[in-house]
Amino acid sequence: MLQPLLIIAAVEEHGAAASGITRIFEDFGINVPSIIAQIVSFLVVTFVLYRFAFKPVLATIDERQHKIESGLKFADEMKAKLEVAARESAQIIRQAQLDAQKFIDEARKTAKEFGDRQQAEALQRAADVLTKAQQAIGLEHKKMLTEARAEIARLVVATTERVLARQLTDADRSSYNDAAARELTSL
Amino acid sequence: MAVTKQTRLLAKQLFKLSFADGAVTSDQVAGVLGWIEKHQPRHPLALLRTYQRYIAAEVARSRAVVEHAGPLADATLRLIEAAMTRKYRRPVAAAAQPNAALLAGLRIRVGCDVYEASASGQLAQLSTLN
Amino acid sequence: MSNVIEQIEQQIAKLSGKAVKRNTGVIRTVADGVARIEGLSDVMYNEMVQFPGGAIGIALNLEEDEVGCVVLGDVSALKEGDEVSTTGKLLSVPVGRELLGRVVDALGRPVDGKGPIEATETYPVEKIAPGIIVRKSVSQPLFTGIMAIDSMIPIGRGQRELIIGDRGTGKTTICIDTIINQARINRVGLASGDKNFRPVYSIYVAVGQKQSNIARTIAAFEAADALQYTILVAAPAADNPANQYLAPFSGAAIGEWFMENGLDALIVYDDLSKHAVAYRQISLILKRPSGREAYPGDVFYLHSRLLERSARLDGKGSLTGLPVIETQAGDVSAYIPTNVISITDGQIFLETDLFNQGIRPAVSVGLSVSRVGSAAQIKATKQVGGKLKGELAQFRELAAFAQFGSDLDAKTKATLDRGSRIVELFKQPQLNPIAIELQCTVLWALQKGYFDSITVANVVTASVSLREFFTARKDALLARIRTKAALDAEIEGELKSACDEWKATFAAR
Repeated sequence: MLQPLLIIAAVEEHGAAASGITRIFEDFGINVPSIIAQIVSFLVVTFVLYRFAFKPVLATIDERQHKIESGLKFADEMKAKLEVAARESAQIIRQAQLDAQKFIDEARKTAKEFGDRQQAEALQRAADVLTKAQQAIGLEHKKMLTEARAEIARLVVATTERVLARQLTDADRSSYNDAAARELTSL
Repeated sequence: MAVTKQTRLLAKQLFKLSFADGAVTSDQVAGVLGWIEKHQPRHPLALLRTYQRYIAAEVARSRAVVEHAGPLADATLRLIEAAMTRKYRRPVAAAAQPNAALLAGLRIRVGCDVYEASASGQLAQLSTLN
Repeated sequence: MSNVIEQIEQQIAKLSGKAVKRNTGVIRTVADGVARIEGLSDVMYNEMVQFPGGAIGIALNLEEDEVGCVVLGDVSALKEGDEVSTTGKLLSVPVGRELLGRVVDALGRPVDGKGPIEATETYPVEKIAPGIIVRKSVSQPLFTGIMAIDSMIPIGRGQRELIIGDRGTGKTTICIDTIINQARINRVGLASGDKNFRPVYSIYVAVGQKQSNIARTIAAFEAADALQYTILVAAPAADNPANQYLAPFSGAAIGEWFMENGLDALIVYDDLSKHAVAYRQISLILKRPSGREAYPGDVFYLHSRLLERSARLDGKGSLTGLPVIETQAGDVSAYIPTNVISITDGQIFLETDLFNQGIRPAVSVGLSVSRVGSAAQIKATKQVGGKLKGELAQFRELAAFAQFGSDLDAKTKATLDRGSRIVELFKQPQLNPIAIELQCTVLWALQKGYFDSITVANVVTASVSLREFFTARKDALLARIRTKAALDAEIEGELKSACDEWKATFAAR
């Protein structure tokens, strides 16, 4: 409805000039209605394509871009972390070595002390054995002397008894008896 | 042989009856023995034995048995008698009894007490001193 | 040899020509180690009587016309009619330092073959116990070296603490451990040169034990180097009952010498049940009237007069008594056990069940008590072990309940965990007393939860490791705990760092 009206109006307005433009149109084979139709269909196609083709493709591209970026970032981070870890492990190894040295030193010290103690104990034990043996010998000696003394005393007593029984005269006995009687009565 | 309590008590009573003026006399003992013969108490043998022990102990208390080696003067015996009588505050009669094992010296026994001053005693002391 | 001749000459010179007086009697009967003697009109009660052949007797029954004597020695040589004489001496034993390291019989005669004892003093075997005025209350500790006892049932110097339990529950072991611990403390204390250090000398009275057991005890003392501070009075089972009856009194007399001379002594009567049995035998043979369980009426007096002689004297020393009683099937309410429980200042009760469960020493915490010992406990032990008894009691109560239910609330579980760890911690091998400072350390570590992360089965290993760690590496700290006898903030700080160090090494294993 509009199109014919427009065309009529244009024809009426530019009656004189129409011949130039129209000629160009004609020379290029431009048909206004069809061009309009083409434009319209182009727009429609554009819209459809934009809507159903470009958008998903762009989104996918975007996503991929993002992924790549994060991947790069992660790689960077990892690198940094690795460095820190390497530093730390070196530190730990150093510390462990120090600790090990300390333990070894202490173990050595303890071992030395233990050895010293054992040695002292062994010496002490040896000395103890020696003193015990000496004591035992001393005791044995003492015992022997005591036995000898008892034996000698017994012999003395036995001999004295024999001798007295034989040698004492009645006069001796009498005087002894008198002395004993005095002793006893004064008790 | 176990002596029953009754027998011992009876023996003790009879023993107490045997005293006259604080000393055991043969008259009293003869009387007691006569009583036993007449009345025939239970366990007479045990009774007599216990009674005899009491009497013997009592008699030993007033006797000083003087064991001696070698001669002992009579005067010495009297001296001992006097000393013991004084000591125990009762008449003590001394009786001599020779004992050659003493070697020399005296051993006096009055009841449970023994007084010794003898050569053998001294020697025994020496052998136990160790 | 000239020496010998000289001595004999001296003896001859000493012989006085003096007359001697003796009071004599005649044996009427001899039976079962008891001689009935006629005569002996001047004999005293408990006087020594000389039998022919060197045997000695004591006059125990003075009757109207005869004297009952128990013979201490060979009876087989005695016969009716033998003459017996009084000695004028009450039964007495040699006393003094010369006896240390020796084994003697009930009369103080050496039986160890180490020659005669050169003691100059003698004390009467029977003596009246010190009265109220001269006594002082117990305030100094006597460490047994057994954690369960030192932390919960502490013993003080001058106390009488009964050790009671069935046979084979470790009664003797506790006594031996205690004596060994005294020797250890003496060595450390004398080496430190501390002027205030008071050594404890030990007397071990073996009554009615097998000779082999006594020999083993001596060997244990020798191995621990404790014999030099110890005197053994031996009256073995094969000895006649009179010796068994006298041995504890002889031991008490020997101990009294130390007490009277300002020293501290510990006396172990092992054991008084057999002593009572020996006394019963003598009494029955002497025809004394018998009472409950055929014991004579004065069996209570027998033990009370013996145990009362253990005391702490004002301005002098002390005598700590550790009597041992063997019960039959855990019956503490029998005659002799109740008697001795009532005389002593507390008891350590050892249970067969615990022993068989592997809890050794098998001290039953619920039935054991020390009535005066807490006054003698050092501050450090009080700080770390004050609540142990309560915790263990709670544990026992809950453990009985926990057997029924599986779901337990957190608090109950914590109590159970703590309790089972305490029980494990108190397990201790024999002949291995632990110094008090180490005990404090271990208990401190327990209170601070150092054992909470260790499984119950590993607690014993852990405590051994902790003790080893401290003895090997933290000697100075231990010495400070020992001398200070209390845990202040500074020591606790050091304990904490040391325990952290130990924990790291122990967990690393």
